[in-house]
Amino acid sequence: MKLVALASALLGVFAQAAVAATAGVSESLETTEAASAQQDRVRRKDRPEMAQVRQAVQAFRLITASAGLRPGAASDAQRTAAVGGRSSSWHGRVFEYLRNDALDAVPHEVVQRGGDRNLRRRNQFGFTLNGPLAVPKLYDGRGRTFFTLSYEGTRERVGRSYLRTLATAQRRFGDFSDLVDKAGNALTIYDPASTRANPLYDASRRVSRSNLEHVRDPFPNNRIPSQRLDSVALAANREYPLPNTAVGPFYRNNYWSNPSERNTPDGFIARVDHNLGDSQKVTLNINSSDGFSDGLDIYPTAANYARPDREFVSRSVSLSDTVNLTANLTYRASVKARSEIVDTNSLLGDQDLPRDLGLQGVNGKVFPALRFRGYTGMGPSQRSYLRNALAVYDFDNELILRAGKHTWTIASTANLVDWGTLELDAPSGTFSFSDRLTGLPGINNTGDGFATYLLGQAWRAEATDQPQPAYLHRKSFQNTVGNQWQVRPNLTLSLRVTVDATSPRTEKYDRQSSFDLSAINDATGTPGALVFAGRNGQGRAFQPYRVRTEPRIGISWSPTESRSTVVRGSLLRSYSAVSLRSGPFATQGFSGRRFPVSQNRQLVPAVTLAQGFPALTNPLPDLRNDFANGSDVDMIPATAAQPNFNHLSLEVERKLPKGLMLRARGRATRGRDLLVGGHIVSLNQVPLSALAYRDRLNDEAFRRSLRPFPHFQQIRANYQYPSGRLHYDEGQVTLRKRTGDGLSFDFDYAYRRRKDDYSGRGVQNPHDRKSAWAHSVGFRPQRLSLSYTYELPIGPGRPLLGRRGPLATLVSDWTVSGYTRWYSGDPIVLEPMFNNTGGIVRFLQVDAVPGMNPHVRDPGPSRWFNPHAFVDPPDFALGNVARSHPTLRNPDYRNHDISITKRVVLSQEQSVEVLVQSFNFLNQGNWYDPDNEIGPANARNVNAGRIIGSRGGRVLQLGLRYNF
Amino acid sequence: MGAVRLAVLAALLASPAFSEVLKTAVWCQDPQQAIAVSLGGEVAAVRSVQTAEDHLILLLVMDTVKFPDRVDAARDALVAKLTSLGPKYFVSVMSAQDGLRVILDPVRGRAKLLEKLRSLDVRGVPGLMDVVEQVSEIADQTLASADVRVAVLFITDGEIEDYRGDYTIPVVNPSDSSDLSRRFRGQLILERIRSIVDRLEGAQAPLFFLHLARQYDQLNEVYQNGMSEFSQTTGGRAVFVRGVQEVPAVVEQLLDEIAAHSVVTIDASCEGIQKLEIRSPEGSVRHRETVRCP
Repeated sequence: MKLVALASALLGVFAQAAVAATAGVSESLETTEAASAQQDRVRRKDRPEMAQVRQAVQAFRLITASAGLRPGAASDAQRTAAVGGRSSSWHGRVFEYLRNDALDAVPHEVVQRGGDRNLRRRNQFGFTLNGPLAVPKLYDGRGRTFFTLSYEGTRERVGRSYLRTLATAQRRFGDFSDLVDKAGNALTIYDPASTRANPLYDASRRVSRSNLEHVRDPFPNNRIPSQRLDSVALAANREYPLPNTAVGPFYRNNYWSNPSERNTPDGFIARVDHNLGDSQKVTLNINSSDGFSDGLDIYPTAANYARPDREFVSRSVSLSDTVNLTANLTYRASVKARSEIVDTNSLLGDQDLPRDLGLQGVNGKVFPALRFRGYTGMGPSQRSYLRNALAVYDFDNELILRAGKHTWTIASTANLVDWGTLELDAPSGTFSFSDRLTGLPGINNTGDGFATYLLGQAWRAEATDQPQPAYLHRKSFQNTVGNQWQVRPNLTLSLRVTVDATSPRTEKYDRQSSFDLSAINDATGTPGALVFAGRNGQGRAFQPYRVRTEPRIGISWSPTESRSTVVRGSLLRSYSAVSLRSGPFATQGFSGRRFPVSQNRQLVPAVTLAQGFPALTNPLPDLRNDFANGSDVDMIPATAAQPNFNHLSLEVERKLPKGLMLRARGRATRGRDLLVGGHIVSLNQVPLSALAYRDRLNDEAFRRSLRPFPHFQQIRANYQYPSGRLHYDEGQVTLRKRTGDGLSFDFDYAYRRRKDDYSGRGVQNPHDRKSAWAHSVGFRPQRLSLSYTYELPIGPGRPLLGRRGPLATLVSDWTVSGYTRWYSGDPIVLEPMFNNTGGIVRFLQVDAVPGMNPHVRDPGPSRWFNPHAFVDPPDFALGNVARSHPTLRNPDYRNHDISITKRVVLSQEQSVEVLVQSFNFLNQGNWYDPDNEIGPANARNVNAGRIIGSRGGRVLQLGLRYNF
Repeated sequence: MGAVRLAVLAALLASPAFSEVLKTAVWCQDPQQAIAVSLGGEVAAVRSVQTAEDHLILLLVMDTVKFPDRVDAARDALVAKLTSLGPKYFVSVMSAQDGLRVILDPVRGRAKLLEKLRSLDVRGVPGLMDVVEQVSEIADQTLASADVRVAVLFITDGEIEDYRGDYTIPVVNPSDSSDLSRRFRGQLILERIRSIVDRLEGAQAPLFFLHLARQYDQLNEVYQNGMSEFSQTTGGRAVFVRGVQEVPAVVEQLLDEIAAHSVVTIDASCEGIQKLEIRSPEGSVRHRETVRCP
């Protein structure tokens, strides 16, 4: 009680002293405005209370002065020490995350193949430190200079599962007596060396088994004599692993591999920001990361069918400046430089694998890419040997001006992109082997791709020669003027106009070329030839500068007095840039694509392995405008068209009781001139009316005569041709709950519809894009997500175990967070087993069987859809089922993640968090997509509509974080 | 003079007179009537009550970095409402960016307030999460020093990405394709929020938050949830504005709520975090649910 009395006395003294000594206080308490009589009366009445206010104000002044929070009152160090200010001391965290397969469920795809473990060893570690920058005796940046430094490293080995189809042991030595088709019927292979014209052929009738144009003799006993086997193929076979499982059906899915991948990235982020006075701030950011990822050994041999080892280097540096010129005028500027390098080439060894195989005429030293129809091939996947170095420079300026009810924004952006790219599609050649050369010419379901390979007879081959990288460059500029106008207290309008200017692609040394539709070809004297940048009157680029105007109007309206509901809408038009793409595209003449073409892919090969690849006729650079004659030619479309979108969005958001918020949103987008590949548009396609020529189309000379540019095969556009259309509509409902009782969640459901005329592998009829209009391939229409955080109601101050004590300490501060996602299936794309259209229809669709329901009652892995509702179209005819099926959907996807965190408080500023995170914690398997290959009526794929298994498994991650 | 001030302050803060009582904000009809208070199930004696008729010191903490138009609207609405509320309301202005600073001591002169508010730049790095405990302590000490009501109103428009501290866990190694440590990216923010809430359990002055630019992404939801927690812990409220047109009405509602609160001073001879219950014969009472005993 004495202490209480003492305190009261102190306070009394303090209050009187405060009144007497601090004239400034009373001044601050008196309004500086002219006091009204009414106010005076109130003050007189309030006089006893005013003493209390004065006392409180004086306390406020003392407390804040002691804490160094008043202008010029104290140093930052004092500020920190006094009340525990956080901005003047160093803080950060140290962390470690651990994953180990001993804690995981064995993935479904591994269990289904008989495996009992999937290697996973992962350590992820690092730290973050931030605070004022102070170097003893050198620099004291407290209060004005701050830094953040983060480091993170990972050491990981993780297993991946692959199920593939390889040639059986006996087939790889030429014995195809076990060969069956996908219906299980015995298949015969024929000797291409015995090919001869059929003297009994009746040209007035269609080619059939009873009316063959060319005949061949079957190999006796379906065995290729050993002396006929190609020496290069036999040498390559030594690197081709043997089947090791029998998932089936019919010798298919017979090789399971569970290799591990190693990742060892290390990186840091450093940031320094410095306040230049009260109105200017400068920020410097530096990011750096180096990574290595080794290639997966799907085959433990030199013929590995995977990408090789890769190195990653990522660097960026940015500097930004914000100046408040006046209270109503703010200026921001930033400059950023970023580089990213992905490199496989520097990791190559010295071994010359093509030479070891006896393969001649290729420049690369890696294993050649060998592809056989019906089997998994050998050699690296496409475009896996590369060295791409991207450099991006951004310059941004923004001026924000407020004037009355208007806020004006004036902004400009400059973006420069440089890309040094050396990307070899096939450094040691790609060789493709079809079943046609060992089948009966013109007859489906005969022959075998691997048998053709053993004979070394590739129907298609390609080798790339790129002596130097291409140094691509593009720049773009944007200028924006925007205004936000508060029309009424409850209504805001925003208007924005952006003028976007984008340069066309150029190459540093003008080493680029493009197909010109009107240039006269020197070799043929007809239109269509290569033109070269900076030569013969051609400018450095092949496209014009694009200048676009992008307007946007937005509205935000609160219709009710309570402001509990807000309505937002926007309408805008936008253009997306034609981005640079890596690779040697459109550098023909400076790089080469050797592309020998079979004169009749049913009768003669383009090349044989033993003979090797034909050499380039002239050394590079070869700037003849007929350089690409006879092969595919690259074209940069000489058009100003650019992908463009019209967007409309409307949403209503309403606050509900108990911290809930409901939002409903509708969006619609219409896109035109979207970028597609040359195979989607009819640049050099034979008109499909030519299907009437039937088997004559197999003759390259005849087919060539039907093409708009006969001296070329395909015209490639590298997904740069502006021709696609898109419709996208979305309805979305979101329900959110703010924490109140420890629970917060976010529930989101969206139903979306997206249709286009280009997605997926390709379209059946590029001349009639309307017929390609269908649901977007790979697009999942429905999406549901739920994320939540729940602080367990246990511990002091909580409903359960609220008393203090060791047990309460143990069970308190637990948090459970979760994230659940569900996506509906994407449209099923049905594919025919055979495509006998003379090579003029690249992406054939299937036919519907009249009267058959494609749906089954209870879709499951044994029967996901009814394959009998479909059939391969007849030879030389188009399929009538849509490019993506309108109602059949692949299996849905679902995943549930959960995180449990225990927080242990060490002090006011220190804590340790123990994290247990489980990904796919219900250990749910997601089905693979069903087999979508149909087959003809007499040889249906027995596996069509079936699902071979599921994938996924629970992964556990343990984490420890020390926060200070 | 500084030493005297510190001595007075130290005595003030160490006084058992303040360590055995607890002040808490309540909203009810006629709080002067016989309200009944219990702490952890035990009846707690009511020492005094400051009602909505009493003076109030409002500590206004500005943490505005992004949306000048909304800040303007909030400032104008704030001054207009305070003017209409009359002279019992004293307002102090503090700035939270780059560390806490006092801009204006508590005054009831609205012209001075407006002048100081106008002088504040909308710039810099948000500092709300860095200063909220510090502001709460200042408010509590001010509340403890006299029989007045004290409340804190944070006005902010910052996003979690704008913070200087590393709350968003930016990707350090883009080539690390199997990184799952960022699947629950809000956890660092949650940890900081938990740390703040721990300290606010003992806070006595109610904290109110006005966020001028509600964000909808996952990380900002966690951050904004944190503001709700801070306010609930202390008996205040957090409001998130979805458009500039909402600002005046929301400011008015918040100030009405702040003005309407009463402060009940009770005996608190207890330990740790206790459940707080306040009942009034006049009807429902709104108050915080738990409090850490002093």
